[in-house]
Amino acid sequence: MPDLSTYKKEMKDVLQRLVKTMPAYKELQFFVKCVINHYLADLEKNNSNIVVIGSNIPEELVLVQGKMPYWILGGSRVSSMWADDIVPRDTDPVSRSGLGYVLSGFAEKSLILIPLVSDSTRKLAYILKSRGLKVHTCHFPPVKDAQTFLEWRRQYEACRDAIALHLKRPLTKRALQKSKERISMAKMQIQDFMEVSQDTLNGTSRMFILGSYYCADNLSEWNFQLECLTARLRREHKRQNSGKSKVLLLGSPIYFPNYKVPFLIEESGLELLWQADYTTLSMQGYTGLEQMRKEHVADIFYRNDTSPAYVKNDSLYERIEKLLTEKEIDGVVYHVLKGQIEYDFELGHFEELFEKLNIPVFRLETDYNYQDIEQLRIRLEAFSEILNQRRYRRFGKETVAV
Amino acid sequence: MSETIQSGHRRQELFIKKSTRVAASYLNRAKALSEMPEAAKPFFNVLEDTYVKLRELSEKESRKTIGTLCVMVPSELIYAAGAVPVRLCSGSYTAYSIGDDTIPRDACPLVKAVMGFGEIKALPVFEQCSLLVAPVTCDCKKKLAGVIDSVKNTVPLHIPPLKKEDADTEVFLRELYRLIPVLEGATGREITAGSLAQGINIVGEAQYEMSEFLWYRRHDPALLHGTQVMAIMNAYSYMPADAWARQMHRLNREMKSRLEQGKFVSRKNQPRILVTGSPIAFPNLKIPLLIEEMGGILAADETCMGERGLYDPVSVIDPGFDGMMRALASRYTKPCTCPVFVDNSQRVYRIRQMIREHKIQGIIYHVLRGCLVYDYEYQIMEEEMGKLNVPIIRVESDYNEEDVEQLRIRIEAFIELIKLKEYADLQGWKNLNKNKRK
Repeated sequence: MPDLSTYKKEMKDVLQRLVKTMPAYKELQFFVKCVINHYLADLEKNNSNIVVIGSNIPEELVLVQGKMPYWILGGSRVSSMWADDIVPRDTDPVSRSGLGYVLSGFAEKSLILIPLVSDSTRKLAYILKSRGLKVHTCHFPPVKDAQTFLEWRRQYEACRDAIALHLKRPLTKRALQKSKERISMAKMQIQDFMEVSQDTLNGTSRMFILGSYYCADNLSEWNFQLECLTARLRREHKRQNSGKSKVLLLGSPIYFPNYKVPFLIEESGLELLWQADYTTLSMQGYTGLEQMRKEHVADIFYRNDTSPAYVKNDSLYERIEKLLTEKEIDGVVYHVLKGQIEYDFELGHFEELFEKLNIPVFRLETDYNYQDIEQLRIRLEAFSEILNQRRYRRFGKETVAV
Repeated sequence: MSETIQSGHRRQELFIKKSTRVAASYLNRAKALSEMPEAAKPFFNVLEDTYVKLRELSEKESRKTIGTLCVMVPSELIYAAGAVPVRLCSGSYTAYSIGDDTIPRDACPLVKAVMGFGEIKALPVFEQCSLLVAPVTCDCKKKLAGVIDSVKNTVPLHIPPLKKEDADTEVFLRELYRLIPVLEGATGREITAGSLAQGINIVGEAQYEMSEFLWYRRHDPALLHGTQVMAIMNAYSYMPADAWARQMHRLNREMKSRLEQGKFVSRKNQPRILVTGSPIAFPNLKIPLLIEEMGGILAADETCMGERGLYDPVSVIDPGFDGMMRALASRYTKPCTCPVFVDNSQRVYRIRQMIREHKIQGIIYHVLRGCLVYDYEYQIMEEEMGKLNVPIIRVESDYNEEDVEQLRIRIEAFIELIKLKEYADLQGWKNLNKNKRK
């Protein structure tokens, strides 16, 4: 295990900054503790049975063991440095960070599940396998049609079998049904939270609470706490319309503690209304139990998956199109992490949509380092001014934040 | 409106002028290397026709052409559908700069060049294609398949990221079965067991000639320059396989007579170099030319546009239709050493084998900017070559000539290093023998 002091400092700094922006509700404490435990205590304990690198795995399979697996989403700048000598210079920071975690000695006895969404995840799987770790990968047929749905089912079943073999017990229909129910409940709760919290919490805090889903040990407990928080938020006074321009954050996913971009957006006088990357969208994709009974759960996952693993990411496009028409969005911040080329490819298609809807888009490319922060700040402030001008022209002076 | 059309024409004219100039210059440099075999000329003529004279595949050919974007598309199936495959992976610097406007900055130059041709519509071979088959291998090709569809009808071909188990080959087999109706639709001809067997035979002939040619290529001192071999291999992309095999047969006869006459293009102690890594597609022959202009000899290559594309033959055990399809699926995944596969340890074995067979003294690991999968495997290769005491350098390059001088210095230094190492090894060996005698 490498020296964790810098890693701990990174977590602490971001958490302190984040907590300052949150209202002092006792219901929020659980989520902060949950994140601290995941990133610090659980990492040091290192006793997870199943570890998932990335978020793109059918959750009911990994939840069947009764508790959440250890999710490595890859947001830490420090852990990305632990893998610096192993990966090529142009590797994206998310893969670097994920690899750094595991190579630090973590998850030596666990089953590591890796969804193959990009080139880096494939090569990462090989690096870990060649070091003697137990790895199972699942890939996504890149074009969604009737036949590839069947192909994906085979992947799904292979993943289920690998988990059963590792846990040394069969994954019964009953156990799967139970975990499906728990996930469905959680997703319904997330939807409720997202609607209610819009007028009471800022965007970064909402992002943090949503992200804590992947830090929870016990999903039922997390779900209950989110319900309590939502109830509290419902009781609280709604904020007055801030007059700030509302932006949608699209593109590469943002994982804790890499909150550089959301912090910057809010510091630039913009309101982070919604985050729409494949991790967040999968959390918000509520599927009713009735539908689950009608359709194979693997099919639901595959159809709704918005990860960049596809030739044409139509699912994401449809979700964004719907979001843009439903929500009042003044602008889009398109976040591209260096090395995640797929998002850059997808931008072209989205630009046509934004043009059609007359919504300005701002492409922001960055990594986990802080050297570019001032440059990004200047650019974001300029974007904020453009959006404010547009609001002024549309609604008049009083609606624009100063 | 007319202004836009005019500026489009002007752009196309400029493109043609520039791209043909670059292609002609590389062709001339490759031809200028000493002792070019007479039988190699037809291959150079094909490249000249495609890139300089901007002709279609062959004026005599009345068959339809299907464009492919990787060696993992089975050409046998395309021949079986009565069409001719054309591999459109290009090394054109001018097309790259056109594609740069549409494709993200950090994407690999090969993908940009393909997109550039799609946009400028000035390469007849590209325009001639009725369909593009784009294998979903790396991230860039995956997304290219989605983007290029706007300029040319494209069908993506899913390549499973695993290849060891039979179940993985089954995934690819199902993909190939899905491709059949698409090809039949494009050509209007049914793929039957007979036509598939014929397709396998056509490509098999080319592979047979290739295997014989490789035997000559292994000879030390070399019988012909590696840069010219790269051009010959690139010509395969723009020629029907049977025509290519016929020319290759002539070349093999010439190689045989050269061997008998003792006519070599290199000296006995000239450093023998292997190039591996990202594809070297015509006209981007920058690296092979630099190696040979700096005093090395490009003795072998482990690249998809080179030997890899034709190395492994299809071995049919069951001659039924499904048996042949299975043989195809197996041949295009199992022995393939492309780094898009999760476990690609085979590539190390293949390179070890090549080092032994071709008497390789140094390796140049070529990485095209943005080609992450090859970059990932460099570290493994470096470790393995360290064990074998074979020097290796990583050379990163792009589709332009700005880095040529820097590359020249590095390659020159690498060749000097090999010479010094050989000298030191020889001295060490002599001293050892002296001590033994004492």
